[in-house]
Amino acid sequence: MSSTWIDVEINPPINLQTYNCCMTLSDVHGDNDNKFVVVDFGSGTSNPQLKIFKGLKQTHVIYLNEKPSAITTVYTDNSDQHIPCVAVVIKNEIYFYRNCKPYHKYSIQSTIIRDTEECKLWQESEDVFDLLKRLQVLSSTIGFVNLSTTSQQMLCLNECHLIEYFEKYRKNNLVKQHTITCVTELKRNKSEVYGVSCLVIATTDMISILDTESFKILPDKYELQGETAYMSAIGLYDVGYKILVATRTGRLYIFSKSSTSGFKVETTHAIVSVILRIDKFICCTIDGLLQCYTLKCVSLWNVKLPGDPMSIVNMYVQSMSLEMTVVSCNVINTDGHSKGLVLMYCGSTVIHKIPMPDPVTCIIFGRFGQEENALIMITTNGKVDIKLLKRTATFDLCVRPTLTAHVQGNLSIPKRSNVFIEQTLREREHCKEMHVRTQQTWQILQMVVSNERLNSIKQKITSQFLHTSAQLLGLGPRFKIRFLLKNLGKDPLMGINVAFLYNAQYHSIESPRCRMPIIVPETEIYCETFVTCCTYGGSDERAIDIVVSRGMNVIYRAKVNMPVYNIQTNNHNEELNDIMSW
Amino acid sequence: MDNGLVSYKITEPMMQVFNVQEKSDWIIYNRYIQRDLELCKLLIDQDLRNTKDNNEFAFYILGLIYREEGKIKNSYWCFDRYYALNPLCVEGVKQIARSCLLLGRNDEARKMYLEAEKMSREPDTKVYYNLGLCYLNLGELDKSKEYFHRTIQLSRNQDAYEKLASIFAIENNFKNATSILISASKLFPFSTNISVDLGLLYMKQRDYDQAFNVLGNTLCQDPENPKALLTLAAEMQRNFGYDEALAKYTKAVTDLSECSETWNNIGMCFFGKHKYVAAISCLKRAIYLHPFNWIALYNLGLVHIYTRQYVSAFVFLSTSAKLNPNHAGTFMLIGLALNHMSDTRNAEKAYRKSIELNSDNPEALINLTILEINQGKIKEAEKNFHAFQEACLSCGSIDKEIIELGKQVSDAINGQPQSFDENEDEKLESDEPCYAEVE
Repeated sequence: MSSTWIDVEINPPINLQTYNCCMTLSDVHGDNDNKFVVVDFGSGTSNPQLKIFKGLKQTHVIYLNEKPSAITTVYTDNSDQHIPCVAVVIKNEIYFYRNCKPYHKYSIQSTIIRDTEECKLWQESEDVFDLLKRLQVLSSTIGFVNLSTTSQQMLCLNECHLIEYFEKYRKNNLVKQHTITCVTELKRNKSEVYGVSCLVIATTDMISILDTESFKILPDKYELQGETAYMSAIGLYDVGYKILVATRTGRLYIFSKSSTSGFKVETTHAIVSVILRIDKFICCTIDGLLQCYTLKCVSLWNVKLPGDPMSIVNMYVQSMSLEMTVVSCNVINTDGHSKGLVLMYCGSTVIHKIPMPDPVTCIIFGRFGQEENALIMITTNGKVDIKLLKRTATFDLCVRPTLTAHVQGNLSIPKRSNVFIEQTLREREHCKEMHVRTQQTWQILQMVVSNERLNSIKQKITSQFLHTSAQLLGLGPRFKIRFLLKNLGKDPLMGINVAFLYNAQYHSIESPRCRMPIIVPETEIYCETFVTCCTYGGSDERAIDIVVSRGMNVIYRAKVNMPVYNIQTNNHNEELNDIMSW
Repeated sequence: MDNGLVSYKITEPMMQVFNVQEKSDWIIYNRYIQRDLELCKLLIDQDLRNTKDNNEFAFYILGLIYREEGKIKNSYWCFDRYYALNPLCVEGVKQIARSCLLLGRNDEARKMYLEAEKMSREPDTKVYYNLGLCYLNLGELDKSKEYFHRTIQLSRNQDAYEKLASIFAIENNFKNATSILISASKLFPFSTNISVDLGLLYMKQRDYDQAFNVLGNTLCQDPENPKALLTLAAEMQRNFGYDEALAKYTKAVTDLSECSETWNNIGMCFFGKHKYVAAISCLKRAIYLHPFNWIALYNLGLVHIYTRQYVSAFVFLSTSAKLNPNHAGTFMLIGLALNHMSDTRNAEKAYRKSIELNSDNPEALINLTILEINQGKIKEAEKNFHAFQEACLSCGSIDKEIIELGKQVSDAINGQPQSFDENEDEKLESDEPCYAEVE
């Protein structure tokens, strides 16, 4: 480690709260000294500040009114001074600062909406609350997103401000305003550092390119679904270029100068960051996969990262002609604490690791001051860490198998104990005896169980507390079975069920199961059901079983022999058949 | 005031700057991808209050967070809100469908995905892939295959290849499954999942050389891939390479220390090396981890017969027989154990049961013959001996010991009836290395 990087001692420590998209390294004064330009969001109570560091010293602060969503630096002219502009994106505007002084402001024009249903509503409505109601209805049909910004704003307002707002905007045109989510620079016609750049602007509905010399939008426009989260561009505007766009819903588009619709990949998880190279791009998703695709969106490789990725950055070391991907991961230790780990990938292999005490949220690599290869990292608690790559540093590029200390984990098998041996010997000597003993015990147990069962059955039979009888009524083929129950005991009986079991081949029973109400002592109640004969013949299976149960226990089981029904004779039977208790 | 800019007045009076939406969307997104979920929820809550629940992106991220937390119903609701706020966006429909799929409502999910397919202007691989999943879950394999095919045609989706191969494997169409996996492994040479699946598929088709090849390559890439380790080890064990198999199991067991099958196989490795005590402790661990593993119980019974602990052997074997009453070998061993404990009546029953389950069972037949000779039932013994001879002819590989025993028995039947005490030491060495197909 120490042979690769020089740690910069930062005393007193610098604290910054920022995001990856709000940092850049640029020579903002044209004095051949790269400054660290960063937006400090502070603790959230104060307004954000654009800070410029020369070395470790903060030289300039620009106070901003609102939170910027991105910053970048662009060269706007070919003058010999080589002073770039810092472009700060706030909502739908881009502020250009040159030499830390305001230079220009560019706004994305709102589009005016005419002749829609929404416009009619605004024109027709006299009353603010009436309008609000109708707008809400409209919003639920076409969707809030598709309303004009004027209406959207109104729907979000507090009630006390409504009238004021209505009076202010009722005479104006409805507008749809798009905000800028992302910007990146694209060189116009010279690829060197000082070459004039265009600014690729991603708004909520499209990608457009701004000429920074005249501050006019160039004709190339690209449409896509979803809002842009990251964007990266390579090439020259005048010659040919590629723009890689990653949306917040996990889609990746590649637009090139000639084609209007890009190839597309869709990732399964949200994208953490993307890196665009000449022939491929690398994308990192929150499920911890680093994926590499060609520009035609063919997957080349993917690697599983050791932890949650926080940010990735491209690292090109010119002296070694080495292009690496720097990934900062949040690794959970065995003791549950999260630690940072910065990995450098060359292709799909890790060639270098830097462990960090805290997870690194923001990371940037580039020329800092006079130093060619500097790595600036900001951890979760806002501490800035700077490492400089030694000129003598080398990276071991040969892929070697990751020998993970050759885990010669011994199988934890218990040693034979004396007790075990004793038992084994005893078993060998007395196996017959043991077997006989076991069998005998088993048989005794079986006998005990059988006796118990027999006893319980006997008890049930002797304690007869229910008197039953059955009647078969009717002439056929439709009969009625009436089943009478009488409680002979002293306590009322509850939860008695009566079920009729029958052979569906011969009979059909209307309700084969009935639940009895409470049976009070010394009273007789009955349940009845209709039986229909279906076919003739087969005297044995003709019987219908009547089962009386209480909970899970069968109390009685009776058999009713059904008469063989004959259409010709129509001899009607009405008999009480033999009832056998069980 | 104006961020330091005083000049450049807005010329048109109606060009007002609204700060309604998009104000904190990118911050929410940044916090989300940096996994600061608590803060993210706080931001979303604040934002939704400010906009009276009118920020669709906040709902989207909230839905994703809930999904990660396993609150699928909440996430479903969030995506529903997202869709209501932006009904022209396909993403909402897709996410709702995904929630349905996760909730197991495959039919509903299928309907939603079909809706999404209609809505999207260009073919969407994610929709196709998920439709394939829906149809697979609904059991409509042909439709499912069609959608996975479409997914593959549109993009190289590794999961789609795997699913397609598994469908072919379900349909017993191993040829197609193999060819799918081969083409996938060419596209994704670094994916160990695909190569392991391919290896297992070769294994199922009994193409052991290819399987060894593929799985060996997998292990070169990922030396601790448990599936590949287990499969290779089981195969080595089948070929009596006990030490090599044990080395592989030792590696795998760090990951799979609670896998009953692994411990069963380790136990049988030790058995093969005649280390009975180690075998017993491993098998007992396998049974502790999975008390209904009848194979481990059977093996434990076998080892106990070898250590001449017939009572224990009988106990384990009868448990195994209760769990799987259709395995002929178990009853054969029960008979053997009973015979050793002089319970000839029950031993005979057990042998007969074994023969009933599998009539081509030379081990059980010869044992029954010996038993009958010892009891003096020469006629029945002769009958069984003929059956044994036939079984020997029909069976492929037979232990030399059994053939030797057969010779002795035939001498005994033909010559003078002599008692057979010495050759009752006949055992069947049939360890059952069952490798665990994880997942």
